[in-house]
Amino acid sequence: MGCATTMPTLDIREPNHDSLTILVEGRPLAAVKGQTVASALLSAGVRTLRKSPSRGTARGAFCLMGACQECAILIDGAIVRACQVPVREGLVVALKGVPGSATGMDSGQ
Amino acid sequence: MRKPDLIVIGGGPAGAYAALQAASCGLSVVMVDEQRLPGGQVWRAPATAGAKARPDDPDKRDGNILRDALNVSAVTVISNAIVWSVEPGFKVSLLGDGPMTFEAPRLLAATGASERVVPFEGWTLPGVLGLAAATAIMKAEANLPGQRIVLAGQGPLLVAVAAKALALGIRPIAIVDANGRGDWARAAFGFSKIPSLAVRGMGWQTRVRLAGVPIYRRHGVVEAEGEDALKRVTIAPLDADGRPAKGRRTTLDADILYVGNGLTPNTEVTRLLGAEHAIDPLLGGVHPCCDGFGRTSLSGLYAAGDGAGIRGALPATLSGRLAAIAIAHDSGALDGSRFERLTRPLVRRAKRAAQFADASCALMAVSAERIDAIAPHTVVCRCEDVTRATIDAAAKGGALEINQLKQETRLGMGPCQGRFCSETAAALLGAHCGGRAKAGILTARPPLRPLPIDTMCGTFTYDDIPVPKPAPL
Repeated sequence: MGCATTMPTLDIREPNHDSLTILVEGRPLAAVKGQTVASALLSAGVRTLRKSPSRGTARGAFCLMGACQECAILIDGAIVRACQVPVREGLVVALKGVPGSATGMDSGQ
Repeated sequence: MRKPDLIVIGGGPAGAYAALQAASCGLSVVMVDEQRLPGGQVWRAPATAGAKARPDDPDKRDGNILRDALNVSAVTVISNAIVWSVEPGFKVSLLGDGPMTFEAPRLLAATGASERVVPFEGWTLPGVLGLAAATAIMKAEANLPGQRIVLAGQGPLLVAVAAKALALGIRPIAIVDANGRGDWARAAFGFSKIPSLAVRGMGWQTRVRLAGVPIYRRHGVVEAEGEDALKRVTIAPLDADGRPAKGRRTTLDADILYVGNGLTPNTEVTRLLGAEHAIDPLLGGVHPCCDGFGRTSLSGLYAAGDGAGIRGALPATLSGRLAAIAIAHDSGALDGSRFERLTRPLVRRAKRAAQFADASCALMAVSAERIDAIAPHTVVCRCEDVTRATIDAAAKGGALEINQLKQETRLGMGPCQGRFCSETAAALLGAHCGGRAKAGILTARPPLRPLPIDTMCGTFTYDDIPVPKPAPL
C-alpha cells in the first residue's frame, strides 16, 4: 500500500462488510460486525478485562446483559460496559489505565 | 413531546406485549429498553450476519414478530436507554443518546430477571460466565466462545443452552446438572400444561442425550481454578439437601464455564419507588406484591413479567397484556365490561401457564443447605469482594438485616447494586436471624446503573450555574 501516491489504487479484495478490526491495547483484533466488544474479546481469548478494586483479583465478562458491570472498561476513552457496545472499525479498547483495573491500580493493600 | 399516558420500562416479552396492548386500547405509550432492539433476553435479536442467516427457531421467530409489531405500532420505543432514576408521579430519568426524562401518570416495570449463581470458590475468575450470558451471545451472534466448555447449573435454561450450543455445532465437554432424573420427572406434569413448550423441552433433552455429552446429574460446581483465567472446574455430587458430598470430586479441564442457578427478579424500580415487596423462593426471591393484573401497592405503578416474579416468557406476555388492560381500565380508557371481556381469556391462559412456571421454577430452587455449604473464604459480593466469612462475622456482630449488612461490609454497594449477591447474602443472614424473610430486602438507591458523570452534566458555562444572593453581612 506504500505506492498509493503514484498509482490509482484498485481494491481487488473481496468486499467483506462483516469483518472489521478493533484495537485492543494498540494491537489489532479481528471482530465481526454485530458483535459486542465483550464477545469479540472473549472469542479472541482475551479473558481478563480488569481487576477488582478491593482485592485486585482478575475479572472478565460475566453476565453479558448489562447488569453485573464486570466488563466496564475504557472504550474510545470512556468507561462503558463492553457487553453493551457493538464493535466499530477502529474502536479503541484500553485494558490498562482504568482505575482499579488491569495494571491501572495494583491492589493498594 | 407530549406527556404519554404510560411509560413501560423494559422491552422484553412482558414490557413489549404490555406496550402493544396498551396502545391498542388507545393509550399513548413510551417504552424504554436497555438493549439495542426490543425482545428482552429470551427474544434477543440476531445481531451478526451469521445469526441472521440461521434458520428460524421459535425464539427468533417470536422476537421478530414482536419487533415487527412494534415497528408498525404507535408505541414510542427508546432503545439503548439506561434508566437510572424513577421518581413518584412518575418521572423516569434515563441516559440514551443523551440525558432524557419522561413523565407519565402510570408506570409499568417490566424489568426482567438477573441470573442467580450460587457462589463457589473461583467464580469471579475470568472465563466463568452466567448461563444466561451463553444464551445472550448465541442468540445475538450464533457463537459461543470457548474451546473446552462446561455448562453447569439447573433448570430449563441449562438444557436450552446445551441444545442450542449443539445446534450451532459447538460441543460442551460436560453438563453439570444440580437436578437428578427424579426432579425432572416431577416437573413433567406441570410441563404438560403447555404442550408446545413441553415438546420443545423434550426436543432439547433428546438432542443433548443423542450427542452423548457427559451429563453429571445431581452435581454442582465447587471450585473454579486458574491463575488469571479459568483452567479447571471441580464438581461434586449433591446430597439430598443439595450439599456437595464430602470427598467425591471430579475435575474437568475447561477454559469457559457457563453456570447459572436460576433467575431472580430485577426489582430495583419497584423497590426505589417504595412499593410493597415479598419474598417467595418459587418466584425467584424478592418480588413486588401485585394483584392478578400487575397492580402494585402504589397507585399508578404496575409490574409484569419476570420482574414481578420469575414465571418465564409465555406467562410474561400474558401478565404484560393483563397489566396493560388494567392500566387502560384504571385510566378510564376501558369500561368495566370491556375490561372483563378482554381479561377473561388471558386469565384462563395464565392459570394454565402458572402450573408450567411452577414446574420450571421448582427446578431452579436453591436449598438453604446449598447456600450454607458455601466455603468461608468464597466471595459472595463480587463488586466489593465481600466473603462469606465477612458476612458471618458481621451477622455475629449484630448486622442481622441486609441493609445493616450493607453498611457494615459494603455488600451490595458496588456497581451492580446487589443484583448478584443480595439473595445469597440474605439467605446467609437468615441462618443467623431466624430465616430468609427476617433478613429483609435491600433498599434501592439511584443511580440504578453506574453513569458517566460528564454525560449527565451535559455542557454548561459557569454563567448557567445559579448563584444564590450572598447573605447580608
